[in-house]
Amino acid sequence: MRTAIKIFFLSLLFFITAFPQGFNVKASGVQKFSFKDDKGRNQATFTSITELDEVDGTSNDISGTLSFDVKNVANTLKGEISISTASITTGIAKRDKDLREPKWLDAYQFPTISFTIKKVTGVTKLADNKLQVNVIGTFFLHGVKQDIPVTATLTYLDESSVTESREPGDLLGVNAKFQIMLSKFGIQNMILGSRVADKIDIGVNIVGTNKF
Amino acid sequence: MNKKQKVTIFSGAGIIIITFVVWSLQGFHLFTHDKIEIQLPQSDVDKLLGQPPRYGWVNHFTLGLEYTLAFTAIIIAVGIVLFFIFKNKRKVF
Repeated sequence: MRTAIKIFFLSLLFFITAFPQGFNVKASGVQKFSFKDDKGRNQATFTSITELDEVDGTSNDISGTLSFDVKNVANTLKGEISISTASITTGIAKRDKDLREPKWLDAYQFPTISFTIKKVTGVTKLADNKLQVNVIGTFFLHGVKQDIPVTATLTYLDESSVTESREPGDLLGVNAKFQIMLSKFGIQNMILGSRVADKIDIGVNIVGTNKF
Repeated sequence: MNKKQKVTIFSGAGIIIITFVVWSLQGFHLFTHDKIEIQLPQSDVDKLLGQPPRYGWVNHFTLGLEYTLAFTAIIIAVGIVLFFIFKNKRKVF
């Protein structure tokens, strides 16, 4: 019985290491993608829903890099994505100004909100050029760091005449959705829970290039 | 109640009703917005990269309930003042 268990785990280890999850594309080796887009096409969205109000916000001032070995994303994925705190827009100028104040996001003291990948907990191949990755990373907001799980879809496009219409180089599309609790990031406010939800849904939809 | 007072009451009520009609037609928003979110056109490359449609903001005033109530309060206050100003003064002699 023990031998059977050993063989099972050794086989499992063999398959995990022999067939690392990665993209099946023309590119190979370690590729690094930058998500700085001067045209502001990359976007992060924020949604707060309470019984009183729904607040939708966006930011198009996104930067950061992701790098990985194309054939072995699971073991090599690393990087950081950040947005400018002051760039968040919600459709009400006064509310945007309030958001930058110390009692909310404190854009003056903490000009960026970031997410840094710590480890990959799972990779699922959806297509030759598309992976779903589960990662745990450090979310930095309002001067507080918290580890949170994030599920993201990565789509890889080799450079072609089609991709050139957006920007040169291979392109990587990233879609991620996750939630954070504002109270865990030191944001305590009497409006929290009534006009603004403690739980914020965040979406990140960005495209990066390896020619930057 | 004299004619001027009646005109004051009906005018005030009319303005308040119009304000609430405008507020309701603009979507019953709780707070006044100075911009609205619009969906932007999506490129073919973005579709291939699995990107959902992006959103942008355009300047557009949308009346909220807080401004509606504040305006209503002002109309009522002005109406009350006018109502007393237009009150018939008793002749002493």
